[in-house]
Amino acid sequence: MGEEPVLKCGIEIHQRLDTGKLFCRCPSTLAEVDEPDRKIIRNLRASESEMGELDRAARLEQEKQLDFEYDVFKKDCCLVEEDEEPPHPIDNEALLLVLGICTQLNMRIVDQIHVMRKIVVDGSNTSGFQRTALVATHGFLETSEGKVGIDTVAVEEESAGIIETKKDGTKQYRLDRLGIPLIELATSPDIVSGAHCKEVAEKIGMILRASGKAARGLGTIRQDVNISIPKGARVEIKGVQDLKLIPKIVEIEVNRQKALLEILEKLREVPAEENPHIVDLSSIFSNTNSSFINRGLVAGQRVMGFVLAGHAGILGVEIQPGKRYGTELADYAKTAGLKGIIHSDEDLSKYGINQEEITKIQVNLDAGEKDAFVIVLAEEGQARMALARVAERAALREIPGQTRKVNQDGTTMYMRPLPGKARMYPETDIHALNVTESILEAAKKEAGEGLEAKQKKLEELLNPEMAKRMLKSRHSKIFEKLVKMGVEPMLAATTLEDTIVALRREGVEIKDLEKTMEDLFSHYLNGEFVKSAIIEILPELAEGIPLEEVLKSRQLHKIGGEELKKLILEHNKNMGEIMKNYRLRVDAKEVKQMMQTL
Amino acid sequence: MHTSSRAAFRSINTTPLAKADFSKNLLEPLGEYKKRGEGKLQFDNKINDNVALIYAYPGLKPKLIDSLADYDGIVLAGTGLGHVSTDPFNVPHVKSVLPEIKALSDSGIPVVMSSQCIYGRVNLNVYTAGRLLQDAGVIGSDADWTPEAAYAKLCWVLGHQKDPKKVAEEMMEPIAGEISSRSRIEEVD
Repeated sequence: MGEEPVLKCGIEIHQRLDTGKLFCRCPSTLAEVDEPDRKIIRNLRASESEMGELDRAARLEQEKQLDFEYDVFKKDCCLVEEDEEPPHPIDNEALLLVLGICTQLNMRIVDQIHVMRKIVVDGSNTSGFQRTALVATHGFLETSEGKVGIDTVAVEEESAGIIETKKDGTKQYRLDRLGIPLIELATSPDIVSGAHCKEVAEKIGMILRASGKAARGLGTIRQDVNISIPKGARVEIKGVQDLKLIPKIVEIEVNRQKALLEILEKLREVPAEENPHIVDLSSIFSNTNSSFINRGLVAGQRVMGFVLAGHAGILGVEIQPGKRYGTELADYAKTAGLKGIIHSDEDLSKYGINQEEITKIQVNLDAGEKDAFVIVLAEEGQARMALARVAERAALREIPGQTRKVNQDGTTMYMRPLPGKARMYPETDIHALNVTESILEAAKKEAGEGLEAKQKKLEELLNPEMAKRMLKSRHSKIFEKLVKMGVEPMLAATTLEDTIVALRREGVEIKDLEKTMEDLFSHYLNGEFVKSAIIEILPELAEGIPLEEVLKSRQLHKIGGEELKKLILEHNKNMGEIMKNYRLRVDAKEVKQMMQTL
Repeated sequence: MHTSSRAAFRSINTTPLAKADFSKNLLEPLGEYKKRGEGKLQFDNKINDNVALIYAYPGLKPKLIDSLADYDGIVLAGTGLGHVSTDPFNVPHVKSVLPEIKALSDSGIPVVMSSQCIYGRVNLNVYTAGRLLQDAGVIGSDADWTPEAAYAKLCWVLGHQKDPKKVAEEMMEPIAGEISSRSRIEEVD
């Protein structure tokens, strides 16, 4: 193959915004309970777009013919999430925030905002589409590898959160998440490596958080990574949550596409067969020792399969760590609702299939030495659908463009084809909005000072290392509040970044951190206790014990004034002795000062 | 909401204020309400009741709307999301009342939309009829008031305000729970 393939990589970031929901006036909060206030059941059908085309991803999803169940929570949902009421006008705060962030990213803002409908029929939206609006284009970001273009920024609604897919295929979702605003940023394919990709994702994340209105917590930011190599294809890897994993994901995907290119090379002479002859092989297994095949047959399922000419050995080629080409084909069978496939490059004895049965399969399928076979166990219609999809994939003589889902180890699995062009059409229930000068002025205010200004401010308040940490910290908003209250910046920062984090590691979780911190430090500023007592106090506050009681029961009230004077004299002005015994109750600086006056 | 059933006085587009348990002599509040003594109470009886409330129906004649020019304000109880006949596609035999509504609005008479559906919210952004009505100056999109609440409110606003622009603004400002921003799911259970 010669030269090293050049990577083409871009990233798409979705960040939840901490404003009201986008198209209704519900709060952007998630229900704290699991038991819904009501449940509704819907069945969605893909319809032709206004352009008269049916989206291929939508069609594929519809073939599954499933019901969707939605858990509704009355505090966080209204009739809009249930698709029982048309959308309300777009949330002003969210829109201004997104526009403001766009100005910080050197973007060209559109003259008119048009809300569009993006077809989604996986049930993650009750309406069958996700509302999205392009806000700006042509921006850029400075990075260590030069400028990275920001192609587009859009504001869109978050989907419903999936709870589970039931045995009968019904998907269950919760509606509290639906409609929370997301800012969606898509970069140009200017990213040069996995490490660079991570840097870009981190920087964009920091810019978003600097606005002070990015939601924090699990799942509030998601990265989709787009990767291709020459002669490969664009693959969109969805649901990347951990930035540290990005370099690994990029490496694995590049290697996957390289391995697929090598497989294609081997298959050059092998003709593609899109509609192979599917054979019912059930009779071979009438007396099988394979208990799972036996169980399936008794339940009315069939063993069916087809031959993959010229594929012997190819299904066993590893294309991702621990995943073979056979797994890639199995992912396609999974889209028809199957758990997987069985193929001839596997050790079939692990399924309880013996050599005699293998020989019979080969005879029945007319499979030669150079051929491979694929079999599945399922109800006949489902088995045929799954095998047809496997065959369709195996017949490709190019790398297909795909949407893939990331696994925890950085490998990925096939989800669906890349969405087609017919996926978007105008949302007719919402008027187009002119972006006027006065809107832009308000937007700049809404998005705050921006990352660089914030960085500068932090560097003035903290040492360089802590400033860097605070810039990324989820506690930066609380930090600003505490500093405003008059708390020494370094003390506020170390409490939030070191003490709280250390306690969290020990399993001590403080519930309403903002309120707890404000309360704690207002008493500290009153001179009720000293810095070093904070680490002793916090675990008890976490348990819900009031501060006053903690100070009393643990005897942590600060010693000052006359009492301190007495203490110093009692200890013959021995600083070391005093600090050793009263570390949690006296302030070293104060002791020193007082000693000098005595 | 029903001529005779026990649900006759059921709260529309809002939850009931409270649940009464007579056996225990208990009143359990269900929605938001102002407690007695919480705010200052002021009697304000400036009302202009020269307001008409007109129901839309197939065959509503333009001359009926035309005849309302003596009123200081009009509340329409439209169909569905808040519609009257606008005939956007020039269908033969259909009489649009749009020009007459626009003439009233242009002359400074506020025209307010509500819906004859018992539950739900006016939305003039969804169908062409609604958009045309908005262009003609009709106010009320996004309000979940009943026709009667819209009527009472318009009487009150007109009692305090004559400037049509300000009337429109004040109409859309919730003052006593007549417009809520969320259509809560328990309201239509």
